[in-house]
Amino acid sequence: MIDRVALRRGLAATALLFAAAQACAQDTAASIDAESQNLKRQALELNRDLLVLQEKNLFPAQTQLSVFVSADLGIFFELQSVKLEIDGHEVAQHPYSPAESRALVRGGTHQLYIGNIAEGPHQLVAVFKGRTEHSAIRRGFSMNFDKQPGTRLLEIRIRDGEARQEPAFTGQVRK
Amino acid sequence: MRLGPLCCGMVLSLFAGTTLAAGADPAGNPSGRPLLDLYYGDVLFHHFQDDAFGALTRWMAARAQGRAEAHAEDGELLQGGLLLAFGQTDDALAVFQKLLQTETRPEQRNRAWLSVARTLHQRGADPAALNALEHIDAALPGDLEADRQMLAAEILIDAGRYDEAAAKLQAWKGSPDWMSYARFNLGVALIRAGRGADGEAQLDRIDRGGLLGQEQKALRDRANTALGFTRLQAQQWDAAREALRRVRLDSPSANRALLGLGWAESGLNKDRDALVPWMELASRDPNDQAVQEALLAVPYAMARAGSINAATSRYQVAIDTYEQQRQSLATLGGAIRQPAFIERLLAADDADANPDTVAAAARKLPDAPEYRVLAQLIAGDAFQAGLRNCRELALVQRNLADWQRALADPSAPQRQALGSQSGRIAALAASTAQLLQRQQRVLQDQALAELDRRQQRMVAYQAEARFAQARLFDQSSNRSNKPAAAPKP
Repeated sequence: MIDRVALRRGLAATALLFAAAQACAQDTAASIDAESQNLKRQALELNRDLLVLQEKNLFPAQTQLSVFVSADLGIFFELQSVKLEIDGHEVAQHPYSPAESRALVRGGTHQLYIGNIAEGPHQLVAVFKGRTEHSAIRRGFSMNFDKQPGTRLLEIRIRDGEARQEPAFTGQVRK
Repeated sequence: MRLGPLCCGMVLSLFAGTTLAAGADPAGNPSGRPLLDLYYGDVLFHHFQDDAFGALTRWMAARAQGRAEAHAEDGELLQGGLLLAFGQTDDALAVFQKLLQTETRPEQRNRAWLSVARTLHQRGADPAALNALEHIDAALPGDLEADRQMLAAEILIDAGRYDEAAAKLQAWKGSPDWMSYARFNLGVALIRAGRGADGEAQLDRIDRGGLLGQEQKALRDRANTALGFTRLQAQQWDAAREALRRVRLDSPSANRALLGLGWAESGLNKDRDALVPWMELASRDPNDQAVQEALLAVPYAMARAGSINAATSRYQVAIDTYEQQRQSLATLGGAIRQPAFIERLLAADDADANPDTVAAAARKLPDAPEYRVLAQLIAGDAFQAGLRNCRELALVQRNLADWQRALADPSAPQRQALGSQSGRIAALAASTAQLLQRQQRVLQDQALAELDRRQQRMVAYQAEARFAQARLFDQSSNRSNKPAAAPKP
């Protein structure tokens, strides 16, 4: 029927050319990979330097306050947003994506706020919105703290509440 | 393309269990979970969202500021994993090798050795990778143990040490699903090395493994297809038919299996039986090479069965289909040359950043002919590696653009604080843009080369169909010019 031999020979020659082209393409891919690794390393180092510099210049240790949100939950609670006020002024608001909420539940802590504050007594108020297995909830949390010299770190932790299937909030000065 | 059950997720799962355990400060903690250094917790917050870049920059900044000291060792291990996830194999290797000089906890050491081995294997340093694996002195937890055994088998297969690889599989501990992938790779490698019977034995064992999941069923189909084609080459028609019949009709391997099944029937001189799978195949998507071959195979079987007129007209169908295919392929070059060709792939990729399987990667391709036609190329390891690089460079580009925007805003406090760095940001942004463009062009060139190969294939098949059709015309005209033969008794 069909003379396949000639056709196969033709295809084999094409395959050889293809192999040569592939080897060339692999060289290019290897060179781009090496350049990319070098460039991404520079980007990581640049970001590290920018973050350090930004904090040092904009939030000096003497006046710095950082507020973190964490979670330690056995019940289902999906955090949707937090609004933060210090001494009656709103200083931060963050809507949480489902992925962010899950990251908190898995043990991450979110740096919600970094700013400057004078030494002395202050009040923090946080308003949490989210949903439990049964309903949407909105809860407020407040705490008083003293800003002393040096960086101050506050942690607001979401944990299982006394009431069934309800989260509770605790605050803690960590430094 | 080598088969494996997981791609991206495995790298970070190496470290997921270690990040919360050690170095925690239990003091003053009212609840069950140990208190973390808050800055380390912030690193984990990004890590748990698969944001390796964000986690790495925060870890590096925290360490530069003398923070997260309590998590130094776990953090280093995590950093190595994050660097791997971000494609920084050189830096990851350096981190792991440094860590192994001081790390004393056996499980952490073993995890680090596994990472070192996998990284070395990816870079082609297989003897060193095997050496690294030999440092692992206890079973690793969960799927990591299967990963270790699979890696060892892969390296031995690549080195042509098939008997040792087979022995590893024989002593396999853990999920049989993973072993099936290694067994498939070994079976194919043995067949390619000319050890057909040994390869067949490996593939045959996959079929008998009782795999039930969708992906495992697809692997079994693939094994049976490979087995069938090996037997076809050895002209073991019955045995080939037996293996090919086991492939499910809706499997990704079904087209190749139907093609082979027809050849098995034809080998047994059952040309009418061969027409059953081939006709089914010829009615499927003509982008598939097996379908294209079936368009030639159908009239071939018809002619052998004596249906010359039907065969002649089916050759015409084949010629017309190849022409349509060639013309439609010719129109796709323009779309592939557009920057949007890669951008749309990246957008589809972002929707599910860590597809677990090649099949999953293929399923989420944009819905346009240039992607459908090139699905196999796009799902391949080399193309996917290029796409990953594009995605990482695009992420860096967006990050640098954010900094540039902040520094350009006269009201932004960063303008004053970080102004000294603007030149550094701009230079890196320019280099990133150039490199991203080069990487995109490499991928586009690969796609165009594949398109060209497909067009050439259409031309070759079309020539073959024309030639066969012409021979049939000759045969029938010779027959009609001859005096009628006496009827057979």
